[in-house]
Amino acid sequence: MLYLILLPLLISAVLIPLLGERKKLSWLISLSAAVISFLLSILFFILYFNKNILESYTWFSFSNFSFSLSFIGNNLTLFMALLVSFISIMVLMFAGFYMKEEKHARFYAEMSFFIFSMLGLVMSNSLLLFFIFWEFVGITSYLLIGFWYDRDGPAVSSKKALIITRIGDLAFLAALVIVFSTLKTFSISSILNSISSIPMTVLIILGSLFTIAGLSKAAQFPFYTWLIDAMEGPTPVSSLLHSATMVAAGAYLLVRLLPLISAAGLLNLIVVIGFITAFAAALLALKERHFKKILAYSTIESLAFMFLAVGTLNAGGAIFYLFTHAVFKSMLFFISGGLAIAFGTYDVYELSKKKLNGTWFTIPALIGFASISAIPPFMSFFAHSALTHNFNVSENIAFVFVAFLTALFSFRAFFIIFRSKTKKPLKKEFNLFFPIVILAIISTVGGVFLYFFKGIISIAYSFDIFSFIALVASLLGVFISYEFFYLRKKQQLSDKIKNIAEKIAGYGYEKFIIAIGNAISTFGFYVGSFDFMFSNAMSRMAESTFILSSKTREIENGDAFRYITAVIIGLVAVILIAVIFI
Amino acid sequence: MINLILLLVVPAIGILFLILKKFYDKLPSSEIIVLSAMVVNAILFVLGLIFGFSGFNVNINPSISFSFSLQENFITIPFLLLAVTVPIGIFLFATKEIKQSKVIFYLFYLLVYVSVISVFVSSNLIVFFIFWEVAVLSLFFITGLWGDHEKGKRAAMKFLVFTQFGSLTLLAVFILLFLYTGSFNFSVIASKMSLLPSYIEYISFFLLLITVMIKMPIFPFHGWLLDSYYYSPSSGTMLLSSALSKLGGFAFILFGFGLFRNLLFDFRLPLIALGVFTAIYIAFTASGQKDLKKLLSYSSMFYMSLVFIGISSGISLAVAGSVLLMISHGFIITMLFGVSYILMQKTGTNETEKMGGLMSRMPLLSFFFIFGIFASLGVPGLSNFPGELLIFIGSYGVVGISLIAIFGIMLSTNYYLRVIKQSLFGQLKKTFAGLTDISKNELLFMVFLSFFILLLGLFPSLILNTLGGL
Repeated sequence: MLYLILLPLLISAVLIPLLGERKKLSWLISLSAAVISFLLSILFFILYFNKNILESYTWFSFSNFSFSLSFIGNNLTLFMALLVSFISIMVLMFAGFYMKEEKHARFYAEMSFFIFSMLGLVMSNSLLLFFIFWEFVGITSYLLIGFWYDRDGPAVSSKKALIITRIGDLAFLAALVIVFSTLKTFSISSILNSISSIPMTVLIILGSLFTIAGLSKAAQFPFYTWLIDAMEGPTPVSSLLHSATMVAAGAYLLVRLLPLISAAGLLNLIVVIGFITAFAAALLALKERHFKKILAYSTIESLAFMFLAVGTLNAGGAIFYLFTHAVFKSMLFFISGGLAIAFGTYDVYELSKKKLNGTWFTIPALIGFASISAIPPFMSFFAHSALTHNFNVSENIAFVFVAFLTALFSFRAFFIIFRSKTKKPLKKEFNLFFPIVILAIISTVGGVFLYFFKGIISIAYSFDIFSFIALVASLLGVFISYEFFYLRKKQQLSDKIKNIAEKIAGYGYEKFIIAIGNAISTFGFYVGSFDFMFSNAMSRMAESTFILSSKTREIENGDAFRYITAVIIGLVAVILIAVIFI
Repeated sequence: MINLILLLVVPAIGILFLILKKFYDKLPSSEIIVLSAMVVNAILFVLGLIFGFSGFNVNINPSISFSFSLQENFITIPFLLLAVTVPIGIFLFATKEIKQSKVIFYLFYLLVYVSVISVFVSSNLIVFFIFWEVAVLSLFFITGLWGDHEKGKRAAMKFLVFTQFGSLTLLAVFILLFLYTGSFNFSVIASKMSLLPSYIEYISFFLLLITVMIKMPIFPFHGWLLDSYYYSPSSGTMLLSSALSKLGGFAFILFGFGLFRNLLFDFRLPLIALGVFTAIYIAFTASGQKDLKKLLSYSSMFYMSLVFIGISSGISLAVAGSVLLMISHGFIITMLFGVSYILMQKTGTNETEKMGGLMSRMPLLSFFFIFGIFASLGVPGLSNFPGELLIFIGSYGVVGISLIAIFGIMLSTNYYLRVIKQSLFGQLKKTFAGLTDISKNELLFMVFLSFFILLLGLFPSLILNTLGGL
C-alpha cells in the first residue's frame, strides 16, 4: 500500500499539463497532492511503526530472472517520506509566492514529478526501483534547473548539472548490472545479507561505483561544480534540490548501503573526500557575492558533513543531520527568494545597501546562519554532536577548523546583508511568511528530536570536549566576521582572506572540466573526420569496381570478330597448357 | 487463427490498387489506399496476437525444397509489431515530405513494407532471401530517386554495393546450408545442423557475420551508413534505421543464435570486444557532429552496436534485451529523425549551432524532441531502458568489458544535451521569430510513436512474454 503515498503527486504531475495553463489551479493541485502525501506518510508511519513491511511487485521476468520492484516501510524510510513531503509542502507554498509571474502548468507538473520521484526513492527497497527514481530525480532536476530555458545561464547550467550527475547515474547502472549478475537479486536487504558471499574484488568495484554515484549526486568533490551553477534555476527549485531531495539522495544511498561500503573498505576515502569538500566549499563561500551561491556552498559543505558521518559508520548522525539541514537550508532559500522578489537582486553587497536590519527577515536569517554554524541552542548544534560522535582525534581536530571556517563564511553573509538598520517594515505575504516561521521554529526547538530519534535509526550523541572546542571555534568565527564585515575593521586582513579564497577558486578546476568536455568534442571531431575518410575509402573501392566494369564492358562490344579471336586465343592457350603439363 | 499470408496479401492488394489507379481515376486517393492497407494489416496483427497465427505453405519446387512457407519463429512477434506499426507513423510523415511522383513512391514504400514483414515471417530461406532483396532494392530506389538531388544517387549506389555484397554472403550461407542439410526450410535445417562439417560451419558463420555487420552496421562495414542515411529523404532514413537495420539484427538472432550457437559461444569474446569498440568509436564520432541528421545517424548505429553486444554474448537474457532494444530503438529513432526533418524544414538548416531558443516558438515539438532524446538515453519508464539493462546484465555475465559500452551512453548524454541546449534552449534568434509549431498531422505522428515508446517502457513484459522460445 506504500505506493499510495506516491500516487497523489503522480496524478498531479499528469493532471496539471492536461488541464493546461490555469494559474491558481495548478498550484492548488500540486500543493494539495503534497499535503495528501504528507498525511498518508503520517498514517503509514503510525501503522508501520517498528515494523519492516516489504511490498514487492514484479515488473517483468525472463526465464528464471525476475526484475522486481519493491518498497519497504520501516521507521527510517517512512520518516524520510515524512520529511520529503513536509519540506515539499513548504517549498510549494513558497513557490506560490515566488512563481506568481511565471508559467504555472509546466513548473508545477515538473515539481510534482520531482517530489514523486524523491518520495519513491526514499521508500524503495529494490535497487532497481531506487535507480529508476534516481534517474527520474536527475532528469526532472535538469528540466527544473532549465526552467527559464530562454536565458543563456540556465541553458548552460542545466546541461552541466545533468552531465555531471549522469556520471554517477551510469556508475549506478554499472553497479546495478554487477550486483544482479553476482547475486541475482536487486533487493537491498538481501544484498546486505549476502555481502560475505561477494568476492573481494567485485565488492571493491561495487563499493566504488556506488560511492561515485553518491558523490556525484550529492555534489561532492570532484563533482561539486554543478550545484553552484544550478543556482540559475528558480529559487523554489533550488530550495527543494538543496534540502531534502536530490543532493540528499546521494548521502541517503550510501546510508542505505553502508555495510557494503564499509565491507569494501572505502570509509577512509569517503572521510578524506568529505574533508576536502568541506574545506574547499567553506573557503570558496568566503569570496562569493551571490546569496544563493553562498547557500549552495554551504549545502555542499553540509553534505560533506553527512559523508563524514557515513565514513565513520554513523548512519544515525548522517540522517539526523540531513533532517536538520533540510529544515534550515530550505528556510534560508526562502529568505533569499523573498529578498530577491522584494529587491530584485541576489548580490549580498547590493542587498547590504537596502537596509534590511530590523525587517522581519532578520531573526529567521539569524537562526538560519547560526544553524549553519551549529551554535546552540539551535537544532544543528545537537545534530553536530551526533555527527561527530564516531570521530577520532585527528578527524575531530580537522573538524574544528571546518567549524571555524563555516561560522566565518556564514556570518560574513549575515553581517553583510543585515548591516544597516531600517525602520520601514517589509510587507508580509502569507505564502512566504508562514513556511519561514514554521521552519525557523523547528530549527530552534528541533534539538529535542534528537532524544526521540533512537526509534527511527540507531543514533548516539555525546557532548564531549571536542564539541565544545568546535563551538568555541565557531564563536571565534562569528566574532571575526563581526569584526571584519559588520564593524569593517582590519580591511586588509579580510582582503587577504578573500585573495586566498579567490586563489583556490582560480586553481582551474572548473577550466579543467570544461577542457575535458572540449577535448571530447575535439576528439570526436577528429574521429568523425577519420570516419568520413574511412567511408570515402570504401566508396573508392566501390568506384574501382565501376572502373573495372567499364574496362570489361569494352571487351563486350558485340564485335563478332573479336569474340572469335578471343575464343581461338583461349583454345590455343588451353591446348598449349594441356600439351605442356600432361 | 489468423493466417500469416493475410499480412502479405493485404499490402499486395494495396499495391494492386495503386497500379490500377493509373488506369481508373475513380479509385480513392493513393494515400487512403496505402494507409488503409497498413491499418488493416495492423488490425490483422492485433487479431493474430489474440487468436494466434497459423502458418502457410505452398510447395513450389519440392526437389530443392522451395516452398512458399510462412511460419512464426521464436522472435517473430516483436519484430512484426515493429514492422506493422512504425511504417504507419512514417507514412503520415511521408505524405507531407514527398512531392514528386507520389504514387510510385508509395509503391516502393508498400514494397519495403511487405517485404520486411515477409522476411520476419518466412520460414523458407529462398523466400526469406527474395524478400530481403526486394526490401534492399526498393530502398535503393527510394534513396536514389527521392533523395538529395546531387548526392542521392551516389549514396544509393554505395548503399546498393555494400548491401548487395552482404546479400551475396547471406545467399552463400543459404546455399551451404542447403548443400549439407538438403533443405531450405528453417526448422528442417535447425534439426540437421549436426550434418555440417565443422569447417563449413565456420565458413558459413563468418559469411553470416559479414552480412550482419554490413546490415546493422558494425565497424568496419559501416561506410555506407552516413551517405545513405544522410542523403535519403527523411522517410527513407526512417525506414532504413527503423526497419532495414533491424533485418540485420533479426538475421543475426535467427541464424547466428538459432543455428550457429556453438560457434557464437566460441567467438563471443572477440565479437563483444568488436561491439564495444564500435560503440565507443561511434559515440565519439557522433560527439563530433554538428549536423543533427548526421548525429542521429551515428547515434542510431551506436544503439545497433549495443544490440550486437547483446546478441554476441549468446545468453538468452541478453538476446531478449537486444530484441527489446531493437524494437524500442525503431520507434525512438523514427521520432528523432522526424523531429530533425521538421526542424530542417522550419529553420532551413541542419546544424544545431545555427538554431537557438526554438522551444519558445515550438513547445510541442520541443516536448517530443526532449522526450525522444530521454528515451534514447535510457531513462527508465521509456522503452530503451529495459533492453539496455538486459543486454548489460547478460553480457556482463560473459565478460566484464561489455560494461565499457556504458561509457558510450555517457558520450551520448553529452552530445544529446548539447543538441537540446543549442537548438531548443537559449535566446530565440530573430530570424526564427515567425516560426509555428508542428501541424496536426505531425502531432499525430509524434503521439503515435510516443505511445509505443511509453507502452514498451512501462510494460516490457508485453514483448518478453512472446520470447519464451529463446
